[in-house]
Amino acid sequence: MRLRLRSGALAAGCLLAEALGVALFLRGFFPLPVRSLPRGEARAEPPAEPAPPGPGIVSNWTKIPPPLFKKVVIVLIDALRDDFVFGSKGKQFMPYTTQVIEKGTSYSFIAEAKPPTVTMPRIKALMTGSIPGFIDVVVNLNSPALMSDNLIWQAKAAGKRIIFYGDDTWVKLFPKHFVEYDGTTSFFVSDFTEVDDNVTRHLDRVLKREDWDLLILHYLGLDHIGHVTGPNSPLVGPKLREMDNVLKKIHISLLSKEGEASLPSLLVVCGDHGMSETGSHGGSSEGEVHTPLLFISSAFEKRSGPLTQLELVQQTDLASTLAVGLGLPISRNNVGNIILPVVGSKTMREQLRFLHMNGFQLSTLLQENTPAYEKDLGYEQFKIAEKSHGNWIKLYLEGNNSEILLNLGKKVLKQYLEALRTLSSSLSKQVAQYDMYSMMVGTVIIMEVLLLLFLSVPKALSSRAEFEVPLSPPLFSLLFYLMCLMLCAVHVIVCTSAESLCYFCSMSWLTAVGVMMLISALMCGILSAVGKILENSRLPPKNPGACSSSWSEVDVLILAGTIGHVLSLGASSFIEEEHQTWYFLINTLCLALCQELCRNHFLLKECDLQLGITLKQNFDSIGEASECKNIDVQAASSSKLGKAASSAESVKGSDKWISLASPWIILICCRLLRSLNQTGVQWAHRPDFGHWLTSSEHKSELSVLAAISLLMIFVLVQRRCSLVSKIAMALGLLGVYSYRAAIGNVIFPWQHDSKDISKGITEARFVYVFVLGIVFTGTKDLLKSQVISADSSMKSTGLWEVYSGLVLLSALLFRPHNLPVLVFCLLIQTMMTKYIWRPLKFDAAQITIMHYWFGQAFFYFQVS
Amino acid sequence: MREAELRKLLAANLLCAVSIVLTALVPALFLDGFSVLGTHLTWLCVCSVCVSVLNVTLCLILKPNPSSKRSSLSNKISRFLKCCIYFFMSCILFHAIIVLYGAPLIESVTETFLFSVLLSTFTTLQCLCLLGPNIQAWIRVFSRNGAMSIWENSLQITTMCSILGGWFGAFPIPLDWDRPWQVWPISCSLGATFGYMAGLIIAPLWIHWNRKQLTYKSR
Ligand SMILES: [Zn+2]
Ligand SMILES: [Zn+2]
Repeated sequence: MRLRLRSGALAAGCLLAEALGVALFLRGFFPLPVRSLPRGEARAEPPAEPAPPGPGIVSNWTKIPPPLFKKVVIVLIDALRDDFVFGSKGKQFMPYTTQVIEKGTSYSFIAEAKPPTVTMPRIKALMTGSIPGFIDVVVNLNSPALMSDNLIWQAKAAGKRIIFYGDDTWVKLFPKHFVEYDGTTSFFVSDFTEVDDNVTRHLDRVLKREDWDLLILHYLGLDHIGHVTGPNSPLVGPKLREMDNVLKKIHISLLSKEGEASLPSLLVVCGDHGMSETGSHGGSSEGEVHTPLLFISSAFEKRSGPLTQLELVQQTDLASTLAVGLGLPISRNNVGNIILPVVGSKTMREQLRFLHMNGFQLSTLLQENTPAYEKDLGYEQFKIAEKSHGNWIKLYLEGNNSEILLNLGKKVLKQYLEALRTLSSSLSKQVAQYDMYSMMVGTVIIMEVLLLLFLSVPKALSSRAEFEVPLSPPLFSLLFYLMCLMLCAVHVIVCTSAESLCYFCSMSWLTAVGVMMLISALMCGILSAVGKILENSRLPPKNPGACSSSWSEVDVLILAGTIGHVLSLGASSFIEEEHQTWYFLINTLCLALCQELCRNHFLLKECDLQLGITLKQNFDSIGEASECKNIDVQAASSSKLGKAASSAESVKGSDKWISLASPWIILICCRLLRSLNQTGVQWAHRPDFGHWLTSSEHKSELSVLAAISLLMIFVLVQRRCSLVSKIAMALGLLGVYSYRAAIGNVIFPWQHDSKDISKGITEARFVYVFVLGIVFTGTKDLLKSQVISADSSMKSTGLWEVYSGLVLLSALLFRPHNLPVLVFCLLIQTMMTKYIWRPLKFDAAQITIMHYWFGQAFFYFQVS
Repeated sequence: MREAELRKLLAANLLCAVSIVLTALVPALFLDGFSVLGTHLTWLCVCSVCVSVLNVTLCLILKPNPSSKRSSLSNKISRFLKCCIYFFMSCILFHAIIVLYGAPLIESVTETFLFSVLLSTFTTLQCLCLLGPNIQAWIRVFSRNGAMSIWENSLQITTMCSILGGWFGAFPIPLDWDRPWQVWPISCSLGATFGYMAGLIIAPLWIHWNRKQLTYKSR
């Protein structure tokens, strides 16, 4: 019995299986972050002090300790890097803050942000104390309200009045939490002053008032400056000075409010993330993860000497510290530790109580997330510390000698701190832990499907377009059952032995068995396909020697380059400089093509006859292969290869020399484009031609360049379009230029003052209309050629029109100094098709890979 | 006959390889502060000069391609001048290719040019010694089955190996390892040198291994 599958059904089945595999893999790769129950549950009572051993004595301190600070002001400066405050820049531009750090009543730390160093996850980390996993970034792209337990929610529930000014991400994350707020959008990155003025303008009024407990300010200007001009730009200094003045104003106002009787206030200065050397953020370079964290309050001791070594804390530590400072319960998902110096002015009993609360919360979180929590080192340490804490309370309540009590208390403190550190690190590790088993199952499915597809491609492309699935052969069915059994056994062993969470294990047994059966079925399919191929290949005996000699240098290069690139992605150093890989590869490709062309032109005539014959045979076989296999691909790659087979012999005269020169022209083009944009990590700061062009003094040069490029684009693209789309193309390119002029990138020759800069929406719409028009005409032509006549010229016109519409669209979207990239791209494509691919008769696979290489390189040419 | 020739080839190649090793060691006795990495440009000069002198001498002594006709002095001089011009042109060509690969155009021109001289020494000079300024012969040798003696086979192998070595040597340049040998053109020239030495050693072995299959048409 054999099941015959149409190729459509086969493809659909493969797609489904592939989707399943990818989903499983991703689920394993992005483990869910450590989570407690949703906060909708009743608020857990805070833990009481540990009970002292022995009967009789009872501690009756069960309530939450009172707040330490009356008012708390959090000043979050987006992208504030640690050296902006503690380094030479801080000394130069933030004199007041530096003075407070060095001589005032403050504690300063370097807070380490966990990647992704993006604003929204960092705000979440600061306010919940938890580490959002990567999946949070994927799921919450539009940042809906934060559902898990957090500091703001706790503060609101405790009746604190919160005022917020700044980035409106907060307003989205905590809707209806603020009694007063003013959100600024960070949409216009080039806005350096307005975003911050919108925050500062409320400051005087709010600082006079008494009707708030928590004030949060989020300044975005520094981040915008970083994105546009980098961390070393001259704009950073004035911005830091502005921030220094804001801090000075707040600090002085807070100090003036403090009476003798009331509690002191606290000013917290922090950054959500830093910035890299190029001014961006998101990754894990040192500049991006290290942010300053400053606590300023009159409750602290005055610092005597200058700072020596700054202590490194985690960004997540802020949430629990603030919770304690405000007299709130610590958020359930918090993985951070209390920063002890901040509460250091309190009595030993209170300090111990705070640490106990923190430890209790962490161990509860551990219990909820790890089945084997009792074996955890941190949990054991915490239990020991809790016990000695109980003993300490017993001594305390008995009214023992204060000296002994202090020393013993310090010992307990140390035990607690150790336990907290271990607990946090084991909780944080769970976020970063991959679910290996799910990943492996997913990978196996993906690989099997790919292999099956690969094996069935020749059959699916053949005229019958059918794929036979053998079901009955006893060998395969036996194999199937055996594999199922073995996989199930593996599953049981893995799932019972693994102590960590495993998504695949948590699925129902039925589903798991289904997946196992799928894997075994795919395996059997692959084996049968392999068997059949072997069977077929044995029947007509082939000469392996003939096969191996047909590999030209270009083939070897294409194969080795592709494999090498894939391998290079395993090393982060290579990923950072991936553009170099591509530039290197296309250069080598051009040289190999040059050699191939030379051989084609010189050797075929001069060398001895035998060689010529063998080469010719090779070419013929390649030509045949390309003729029979790749009819569709040719059309899709929009190369004019269709007639290649017929006109190959007529390479002569000037064509020959252009053909020989074309690799060199391509090489020179690529070298020119390379100096247009510096990209990557190491050399990104180097001056490049693009920066020179985009600076405001060189607007006229940029205008000339853009105009020439647009003209060239027109010349290169319009050749094979119909008249209507030619005109539309010309108008569209004019529209592109006027759009760029409208938003102030380029100027018209008659326009000398660029005062009236509009948003250019009208012009952009104008171009979009033409893009749509051209694409529509092209599609119409294509459909017509399909339905009415099998006219190939109509079809090619249609394809070219769709193509030119897309080119017009990209001309609109490219930044004006990158328009030469588009021109060279079109030029190189034309040259490659006409002078290289056609005379050398490459097949579709080779051309596709070359297209891909050049596409990658051109992507990096325009990235800066 | 073949065996003797092969032994000659092996000796010549080993001599070349040893001389390259010596260029890295001997100048340190005369120049203080000399090291391959530290004073790389000096080493490049020393190495190119040594290899070229040795190659020319070997070529004169061993006479791998017996020139059939006695040529006059003026003929010889014109040949020599032609060789010089070819060598210089190949240096320029390598320089251009290296710049196309992304080497800076104006900065560090000396480094780039010396590297291209080294590459020419490893490749073009060998061809000039063996084949003379005869482009047709070059094309013949570097086409697929064009080698006509073990010398030409060895030439093919060493040329390919040194160029491949230089090519692979470019890989570590963009990486962020901050090693002293990642500075342009150290890794490339070292790669080319190692490639050349590997080629020198591989060539006799490969010819020995494949001596059954190698049939030279005109002999
Ligand atoms: Zn940010
Ligand atoms: Zn940002």
